[in-house]
Amino acid sequence: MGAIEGVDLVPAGRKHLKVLSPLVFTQDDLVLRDILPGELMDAYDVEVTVQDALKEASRIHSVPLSLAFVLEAPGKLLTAVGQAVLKGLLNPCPLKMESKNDRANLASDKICPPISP
Amino acid sequence: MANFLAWEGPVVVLSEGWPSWSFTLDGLNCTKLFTYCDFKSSKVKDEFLFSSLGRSHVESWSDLVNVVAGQGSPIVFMQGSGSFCKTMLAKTCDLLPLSLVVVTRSEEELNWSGSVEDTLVHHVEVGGMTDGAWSISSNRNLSLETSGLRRSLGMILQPVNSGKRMSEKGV
Repeated sequence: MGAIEGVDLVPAGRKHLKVLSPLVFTQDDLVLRDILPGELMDAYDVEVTVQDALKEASRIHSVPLSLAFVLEAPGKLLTAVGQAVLKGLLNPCPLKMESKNDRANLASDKICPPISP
Repeated sequence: MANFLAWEGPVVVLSEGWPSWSFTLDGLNCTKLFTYCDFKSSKVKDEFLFSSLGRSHVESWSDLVNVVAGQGSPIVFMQGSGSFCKTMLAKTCDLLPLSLVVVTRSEEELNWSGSVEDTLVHHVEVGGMTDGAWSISSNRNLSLETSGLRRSLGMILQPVNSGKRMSEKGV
């Protein structure tokens, strides 16, 4: 697989990627380089405090980061699911899990059925 | 006015690898968090223990059952391969879960009879920037919301990192 650019999606599950990145020291050209661990963590929505802890652990133990998070679902996806679960339990109305198309057309005036015991 | 989620009950994360669920739930204000992991790599375990959520780690299944027993029925969030999740689903009755949510890679077969509905969610659908998709299964109905904040890889690439210069002809 070739390098990815700024408009591309990041291939899921891969720890090592080549990117074509802009460089402030050049006028127009892109440079080819490895994606940085921090950039990969950003792509998987790893929170900054967690990023800092991982980098610190790597520094203290003098070992490269495992980057194991690339094998898991990214933070934004889990947050969307986690919010839906918690909201469903805190405000227990039996909402249905919509399909992809339904989600794109979510009606804002959805009526919440009565709370079941 | 912003609404903050405040789930005060116990939450259990069962993970085969890096327990990303734990960090997400911590961010959603879940404070009674217990993380049980089948770490395949000691390096990954060390990284997790070094993180702020290392304190939530529970070493053995019996310890997990005991510590959760006094807290009430937990919400259980699971992640890993289909085979790992099937094994864990068979054991979760020990925890008397209030709710169960399972996240596996899209290609994994779960065939969980207790699931109310299964859906496939792409990272880009929720404003993410990877091409990955994950299967979400739950014993409760869920309503997923999309994210208004969408980023692209170009927004996170660091332009002060050197590399091999490419000519405009792409050589």
